[in-house]
Amino acid sequence: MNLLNVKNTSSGYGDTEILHGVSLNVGEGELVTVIGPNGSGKSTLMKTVVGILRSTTGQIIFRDKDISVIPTEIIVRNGISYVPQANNVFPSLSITENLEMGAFIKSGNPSKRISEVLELFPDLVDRGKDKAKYLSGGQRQMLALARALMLDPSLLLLDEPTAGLAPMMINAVFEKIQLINSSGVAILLIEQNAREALKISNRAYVLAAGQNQLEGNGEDLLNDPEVARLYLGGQE
Amino acid sequence: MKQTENTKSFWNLIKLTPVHYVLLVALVIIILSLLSVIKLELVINGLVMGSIIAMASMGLTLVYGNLKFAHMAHGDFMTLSAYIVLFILTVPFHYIGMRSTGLGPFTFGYPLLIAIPFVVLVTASIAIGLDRIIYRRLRNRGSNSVILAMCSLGVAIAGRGIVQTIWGGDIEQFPRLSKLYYQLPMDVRIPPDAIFIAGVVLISTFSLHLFLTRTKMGKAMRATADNTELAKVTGINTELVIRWTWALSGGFAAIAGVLLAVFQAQLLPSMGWSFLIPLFAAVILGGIGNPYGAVIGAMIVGISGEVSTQWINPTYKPVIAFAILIIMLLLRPQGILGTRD
Amino acid sequence: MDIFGLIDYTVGWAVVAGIYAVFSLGLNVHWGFTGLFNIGIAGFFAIGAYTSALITTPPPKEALFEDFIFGGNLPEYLGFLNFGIDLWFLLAILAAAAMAGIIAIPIGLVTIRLKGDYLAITTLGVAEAIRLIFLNEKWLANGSRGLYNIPKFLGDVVTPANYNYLYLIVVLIVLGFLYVMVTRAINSPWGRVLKSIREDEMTAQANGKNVLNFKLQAFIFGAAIMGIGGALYAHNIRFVSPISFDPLYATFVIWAMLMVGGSGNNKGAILGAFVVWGIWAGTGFLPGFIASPSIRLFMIGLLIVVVILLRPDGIMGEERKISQKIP
Repeated sequence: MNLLNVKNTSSGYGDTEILHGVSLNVGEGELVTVIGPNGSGKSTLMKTVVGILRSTTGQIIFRDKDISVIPTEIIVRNGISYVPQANNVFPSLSITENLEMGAFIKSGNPSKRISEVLELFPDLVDRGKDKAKYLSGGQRQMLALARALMLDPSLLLLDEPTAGLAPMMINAVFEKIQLINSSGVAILLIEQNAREALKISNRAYVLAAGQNQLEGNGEDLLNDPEVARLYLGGQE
Repeated sequence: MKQTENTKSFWNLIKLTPVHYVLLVALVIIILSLLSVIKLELVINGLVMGSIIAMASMGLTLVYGNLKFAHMAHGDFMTLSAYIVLFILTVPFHYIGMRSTGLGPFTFGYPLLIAIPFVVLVTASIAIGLDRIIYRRLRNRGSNSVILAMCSLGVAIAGRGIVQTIWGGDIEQFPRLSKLYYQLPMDVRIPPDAIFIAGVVLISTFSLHLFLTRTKMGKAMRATADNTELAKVTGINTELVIRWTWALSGGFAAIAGVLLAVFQAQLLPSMGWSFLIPLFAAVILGGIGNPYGAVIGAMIVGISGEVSTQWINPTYKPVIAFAILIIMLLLRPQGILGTRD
Repeated sequence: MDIFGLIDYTVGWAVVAGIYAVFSLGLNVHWGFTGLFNIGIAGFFAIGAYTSALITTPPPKEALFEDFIFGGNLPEYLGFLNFGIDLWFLLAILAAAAMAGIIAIPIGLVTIRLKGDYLAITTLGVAEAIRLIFLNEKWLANGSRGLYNIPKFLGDVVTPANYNYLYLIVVLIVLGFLYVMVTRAINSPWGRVLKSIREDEMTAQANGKNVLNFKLQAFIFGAAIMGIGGALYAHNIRFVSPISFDPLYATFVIWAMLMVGGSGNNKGAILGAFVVWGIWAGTGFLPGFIASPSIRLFMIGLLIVVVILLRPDGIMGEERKISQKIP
């Protein structure tokens, strides 16, 4: 039973079409990675799934519902959480406030959920009042992930969570992603650090020039010489 | 571009934030007034005027920050509310036969205090209604901030037309029940109303602060101002935030309009429109979207305007505000409390 | 009103509509072709009108409490150099254009680099400052009393009753000339760069075009046109005072005209002027209070909102659509 089913979807900005009939799916609890060169439409794909961009063809089915016609606010209420690549926290709000915003949809006191989520992110625990703009790149990324988890999502969309981070931070982020996935949250991951991403993925897709190129198990693609040559070169 | 780099390193050298500079200037003003170089009464008047500007510009900066456009009809919200209160005070209360005596030392009686919440509700509703009919459509179309500003210009003109049609274009007198003054040392005379005005503005500012920092909707408002797309994706109901923004903006403008009417005791259909330049100066001075900055900016604009009359023709007051606006846009467009994007 | 009265009225109406069309053309250069949100038209209007008036007005007479210090008195000054065809008029118009253009330079240098809505607020402030200066500095142009001895162009050629016909021809000639000039400019290489800046500023900059320079030139160009409009106004009404530059009549009605006619389209700009002024004059004939200026104020505002909501391209739409983006 697929959680998310993207069928033959095209999308773009204004008159420019970037995705030309892309398909992919994510099953319950799976960790699926999308890799590919810059400009291949990976971010566009994610933005289309979550409703920031409107698809022009195809369907996007989430738990039997076609979400390609629903506004973002409702999509998010259905259990999909999205972390953009840049500008993914509210800079003038404190850490606690950022997390509270993550729970906006839910009524009642968010403190319990906040403590639950912060268990995964011990670095952020004692810094509740700090404003997000003063955090380092790695901490900001953690906060963005934590905020997304406040929704208790069944599907998490992550757009290049390790972009611009120091190697130690990159490992920490990948660890967190695995941890989150192991608790049952399905993850759709876009990554430039393709090698690392494929290591932890169940399945993966390769996207280039706005179209599907390859798909398969994480391990298979990792060991595929053609994939290694085209998409993994120099990613050590 | 070279110019900005030199100024940047200059600031760094001195290691003072812009807020420090504001405090410095405030200190200088206080010293100068004590030495009678500047007339203290003008400074006090400036503070009162600054409070009224602050009241209105808090609302304006919220709309500017959350909806990302310069709302040209904000002044006309003030005008409309002042005229509605005038109407309430002179018509219904007159017919009911209530004679109002001044409330304590103030120039108004309790009817004004009843009228204020009423006109706040009316103006807030009008603001939300206008958004529903006009601005939301443009938002959904993806119109940019210039188109939105232009449309609000049309609303401003139409609004003034309505006011003028109903009440005519001549000056209306706002009812005053007394003419007391407090005589203070250093040749300062202030009307008791000034204390009322300052009190109302202080309470409103504090309430806004509590709202923005302690309530869920307030925090959602700050989040939406930071990054509207991220807010949507987080699950924040941005349309609800926008409605609240208009309600607050309209409400604050309504209060400011009444305060202005009380202070000046005269109403003109163009009173709100003429206020636009000082309002925008305050908003830009303080940093767009930052209500605390707007208050600081408003005080600066108010005091500069009043103090300048010691040497310059009073009719040039808007030019002073305008000059401040230009200087700010050239030197530090993000304002005193704003951060570079 | 009999048929001759109606024709007389229409001619008078057409003169004003034609003058407004000149302003509309100027605004089209600013907004339609360059994307500059200028709501300070009244400022350039005033500068053009006052320049032309001051140059041609006879010197102040103390006996009449005229406070200003300079009256150019150009018609007398030129004397026979007018060649009997009142050449001073042409010089006055050119002076108005030049003055407006010159004053546009510092204003432009400061405001052009600002974002759209900042530009609007700034131009508003500038226009207000100009109005206040003319109001307070009595030595400049007689303050609120204004200048009221502005000479008539070719005043001796026709009877006062028929003068409007002559002036209408003058206005139409100037309008036609400006229309040709602006159209030529827009279709020239200079104009094409301008359009490319409006479409995509970053690409234009990447191509090495000095964007600020082009915008400044367009700003000066538009301002000069507005100055000419001011001069035409001054010699039509032959009385100029700060009240003449009320933002409603001197800025917003022109915006309504351009929006209705179609910004980005020179023909649209002219058409819009006649249409809106026609509505304005037409409502004057309606019964009762609908004819009052306050209702017209409301109407102009409503017109702007409705056009933006329902038909942002105006009647004629843009002349040549380069892309689908609305500026």
